[in-house]
Amino acid sequence: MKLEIIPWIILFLPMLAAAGITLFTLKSRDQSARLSIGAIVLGFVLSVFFIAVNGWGPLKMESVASWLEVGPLQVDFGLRLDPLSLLMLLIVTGVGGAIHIYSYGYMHDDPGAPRYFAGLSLFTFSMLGIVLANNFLQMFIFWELVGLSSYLLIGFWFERPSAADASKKAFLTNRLGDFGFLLGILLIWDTFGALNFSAIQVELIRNPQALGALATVVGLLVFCGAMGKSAQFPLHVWLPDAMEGPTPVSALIHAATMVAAGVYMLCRVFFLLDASGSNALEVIAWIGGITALLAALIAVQQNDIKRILAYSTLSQLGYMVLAVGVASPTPAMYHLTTHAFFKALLFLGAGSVIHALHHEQDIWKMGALKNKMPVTFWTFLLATLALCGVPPLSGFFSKDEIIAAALNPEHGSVWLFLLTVGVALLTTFYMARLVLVAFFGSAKSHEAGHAHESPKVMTVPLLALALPSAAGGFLGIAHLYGKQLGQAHADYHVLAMAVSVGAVIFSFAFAWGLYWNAERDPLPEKIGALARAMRDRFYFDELYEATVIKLQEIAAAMADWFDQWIIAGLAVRGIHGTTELFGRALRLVQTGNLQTYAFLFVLSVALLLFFVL
Amino acid sequence: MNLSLSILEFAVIGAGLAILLADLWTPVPQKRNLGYAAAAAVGLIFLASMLMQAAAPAYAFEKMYVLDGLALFFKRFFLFAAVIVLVMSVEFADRIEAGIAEYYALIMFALAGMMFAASANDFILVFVSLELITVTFYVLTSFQRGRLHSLEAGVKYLILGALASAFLVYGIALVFGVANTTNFGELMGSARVASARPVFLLGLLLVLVGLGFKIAAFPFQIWAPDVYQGSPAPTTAFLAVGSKAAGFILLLRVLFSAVPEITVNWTKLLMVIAGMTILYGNLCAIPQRNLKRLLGYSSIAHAGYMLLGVAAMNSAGSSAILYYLGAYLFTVLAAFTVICVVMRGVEGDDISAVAGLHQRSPLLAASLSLAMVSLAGIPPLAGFFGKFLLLKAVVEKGATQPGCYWLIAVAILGVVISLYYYLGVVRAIYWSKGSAELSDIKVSWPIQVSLYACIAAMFYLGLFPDRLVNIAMEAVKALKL
Amino acid sequence: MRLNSTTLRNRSDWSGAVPIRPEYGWKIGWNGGSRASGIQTVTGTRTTHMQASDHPYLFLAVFLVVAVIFPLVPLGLARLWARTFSPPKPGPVKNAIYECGVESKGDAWIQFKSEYYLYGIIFLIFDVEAIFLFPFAVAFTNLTIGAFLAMMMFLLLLVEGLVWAWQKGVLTWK
Repeated sequence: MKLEIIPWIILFLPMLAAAGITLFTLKSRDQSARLSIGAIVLGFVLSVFFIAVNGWGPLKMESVASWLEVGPLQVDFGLRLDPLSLLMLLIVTGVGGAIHIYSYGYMHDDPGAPRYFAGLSLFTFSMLGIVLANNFLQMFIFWELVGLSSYLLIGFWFERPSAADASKKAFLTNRLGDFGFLLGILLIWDTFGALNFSAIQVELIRNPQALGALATVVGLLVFCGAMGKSAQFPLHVWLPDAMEGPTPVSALIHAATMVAAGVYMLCRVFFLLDASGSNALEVIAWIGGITALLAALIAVQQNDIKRILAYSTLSQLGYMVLAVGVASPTPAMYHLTTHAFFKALLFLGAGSVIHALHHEQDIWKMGALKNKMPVTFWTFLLATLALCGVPPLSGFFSKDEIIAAALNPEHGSVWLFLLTVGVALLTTFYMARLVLVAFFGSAKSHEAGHAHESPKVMTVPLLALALPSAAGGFLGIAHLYGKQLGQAHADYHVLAMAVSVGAVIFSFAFAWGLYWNAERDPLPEKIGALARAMRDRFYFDELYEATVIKLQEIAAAMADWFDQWIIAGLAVRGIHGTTELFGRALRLVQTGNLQTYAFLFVLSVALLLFFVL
Repeated sequence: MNLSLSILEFAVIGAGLAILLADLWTPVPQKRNLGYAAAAAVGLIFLASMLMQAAAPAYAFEKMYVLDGLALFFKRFFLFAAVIVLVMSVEFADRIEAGIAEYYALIMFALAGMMFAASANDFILVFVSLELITVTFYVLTSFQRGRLHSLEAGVKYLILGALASAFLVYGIALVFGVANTTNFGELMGSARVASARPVFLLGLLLVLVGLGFKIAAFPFQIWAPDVYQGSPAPTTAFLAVGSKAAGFILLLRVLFSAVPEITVNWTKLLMVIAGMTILYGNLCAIPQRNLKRLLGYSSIAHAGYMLLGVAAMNSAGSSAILYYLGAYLFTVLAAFTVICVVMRGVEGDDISAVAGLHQRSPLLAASLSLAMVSLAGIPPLAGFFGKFLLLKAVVEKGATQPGCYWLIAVAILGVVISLYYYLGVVRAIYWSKGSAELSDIKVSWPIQVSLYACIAAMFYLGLFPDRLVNIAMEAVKALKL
Repeated sequence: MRLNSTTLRNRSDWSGAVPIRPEYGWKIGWNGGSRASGIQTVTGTRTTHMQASDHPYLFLAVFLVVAVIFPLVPLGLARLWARTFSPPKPGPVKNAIYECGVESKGDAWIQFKSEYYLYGIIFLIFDVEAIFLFPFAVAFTNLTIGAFLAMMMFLLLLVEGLVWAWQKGVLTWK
């Protein structure tokens, strides 16, 4: 019984840290950092301890406190402890811990550091809440909290208008997805009368047709939430902009944890997506595939180091969602885990470079960093190789399983398979481009010529993350997930392996030819318009600007017009006699406003009566 | 006749009269502090109301007046709101030229009207209590006699309010003409027969018009932004919380305890009104720069959300309204308290006045931000749960009325739109450079206490909603749902 | 009340032949009748003729024509009379606002002292009070103690109002 309290402690430690920082230590940078780092490291140690003592546990162990009892709606505040959540617990506290420590170095000179650490702890708390939630409502609440804390962190440098806009964009886009999610939850409650995951699962096994015609709709609505958080097409626009936040935040939120939440949630409720009569999986697979391909194409022509990584993240998330879509949650979670390691490593490496170059982010102004920053370079290279899927690094195994799953005729198709291979080709290409341009060749700017390795507090987390990035394939992670989500398909592995290794070699050779010692990008000359489209991110932002935002503006403008002219215009201005056009007419009847009001009032009454009677 | 049932109302009126008398012998500099006495008195009555029980409905004044769980819930609601509003008024006192004690007393008389409204079981009491509320508000809105805006608000409210009252009383007359009674209990018996007569329906619709005016539902919402903008801040707060809640309790009583048989035919009407109200409020609020006007539009939108609960026509919906009102009470009072303190000496109430507020007073900044976040319906604050419960109630209705899904979509669209302007306020607080003045703002301790109470309640209701929801569920048993 | 009897007769005549909106005859007859008694006879005879006619609204047209002509004829006659016997000869004295009385000075839009209204209201309240007090006094011996207390309560409220007004200086004319 005593053991049960440990996950609760892990969950609430970061919240206490966040509260402590906001209440007491806002003045002191060091104390705030210590509180925040202490909370998450202790959380990591406790997680390891818990797993060591308890093992990976009985498959479904729930620790429950009654929270809400409202008539027929009964919601517990519970923690669900199974291999899925325990592994995620390790990732969030482990990778998160490394990032916390790294931040201490990175944010050394920033006066807002206490606020930053408070945000970081709040974020960790809400992320842990999602991971451990045992019912939809609890998950949704933490889901929103994650959105809120990422809003605070992306907009951390609020003096920059771009950061403020980016945070707002991220929040609004996320909310759009979230409301689909909420609607899905409401429908689920309507159907099952319960929100607890295991209760719904049991009910669904007992009566597979429970959802009936709504199965697809519910699946897609729930997927809406994942689309927002995991930045799937067409809600992907917020993620690249979110790079306006400090780099460790990019690493924590936009590589390792928050964006993974969508995929995690899909795996958590996989039984619902897979329910009989639901076609949701097919849509999910294709949306994942399209996201992966689009993002990889865009990444090829980006020049900002963090943006390349951001689009790479998008592309890998697309992979994971595709894996869920072909009914293989195990590879999805596996890739999520390994990706968390090496992508966090990549972001932290990029942060180290940016730090050394005094906030220069353009790769065409870097170059020749290989010898000046050895630790950063070697860890970055290792992570790049892992991302490309070079054996025997971690990324190879997880990616391989996804490609194999896409080939499985039961859910996948040849087209999906070709899509995954194409993305694999592109991945190697843009990562090779990044490494060749930024670390090799000649120094292309003054800062790059005088770069120095970052301090220990930043390089040690790099080394710590390099270990699992390299050896992640041998830790039996897939087996653990498999215990809960079902084993991956064993067939087609050889073909997938051969194709993916071939893709790496071919693509790398191509990139070598183009970018070895290149001073500027030769690609635009060769493929012209396509390159421009890639560089301009296929004009998605412009499209949204033109449609969604414009529509909102038009609606607002119309409402404004109505308000200004019909109500305020005819009214308030009439009183002040400032409207030149109507002034003379309205001065005769100074109470024009009231008459308008009264007229509208009576007209409404008449219309109401007309329609009802 | 059982006078002891309405002891709370009599106590409030007595306290109001006492304040009026005490004013006569209080030296001028001390008059302001009468507000604290008034707040303390209302606070005591609030505590006393906690001791009251209403297991079974009890009637007084020949069944005109009923004391049941629902009435008691709303009485406590109004009493609590009045305490905060009175504290706020003390803060506001220096902006009122003369007659501050009358201001306090009028708030208490309006409070008495609201409390009578909570117990109305007869159209006559509906009319009388509504008039008591409205007439006092005519004065309260135009209390800053020197300010043109305040006078304008008062005149607009007066004329449109009179128009609405005229419709209401005409409607009541028609209902009486057909059914030969104004008592809700007797009406329920005869409504089935009377509902065949169009005149009866006409009368009920006109009653709805009058009540729709009170809650600022589309299409009777036109007055709200102007009046909210022009009135003194405490009046606006009381208008947004008390007067609106009074409109809702009367609406619930009329629809679900006087004529439930007729109400079921009006699902579609109520759904359309709810949807339009949500859209109107949210769309008009987007371009707003004036904070009080923005809250005026937002209050229209919130009336729309609460109408969702009415349109759902089940006990889940009605109890969700009660919960939502509870959440709304703390949120709006916190917002207006901050506005009242910050807008001292600022003409125009522009959003820019709160720019850089977090440097001037962290408490005020945090309160206003949390209020905005709660209004936007973001967990874990109270506003989220209210919206969740309302939507849940409508989803339940969706099984029989497929149009409900459209309504839900509209409501959710409204919530997304609303984020836009609520976040605009939060952004102004933290993320824009303070305008002219950057001196620290002194916050008196009663204001601090009420702000802390509101914040705590927002969190408490958001994190542990079940207690209030269960109370609400218990309360709406009084309705015939 | 000759008026009412004729209209009622009309209405009852109609109810058999013309089922549509018998109220019209009633309303219009009443309106016309109130203006001049002469019309009443016209409507009376017309409508009785109309019973033979099959168009129910014909009488409206006829009525309208008569209603226009009837006032126009005397007006025209009066005009002719004036032109012949008293041609207009305007002068400063003749154009003055009043033929008699005192000339007004200044603008009519002056501010009233609000004390007028306060006086008025307080007077009204005590006036109304008297209406309640009178029956109370008449039935005093038969009333219960509760009624007596209620009345005292009522008086107390009014007294408070008076005290308040007095203290506020409403009753002193400044």
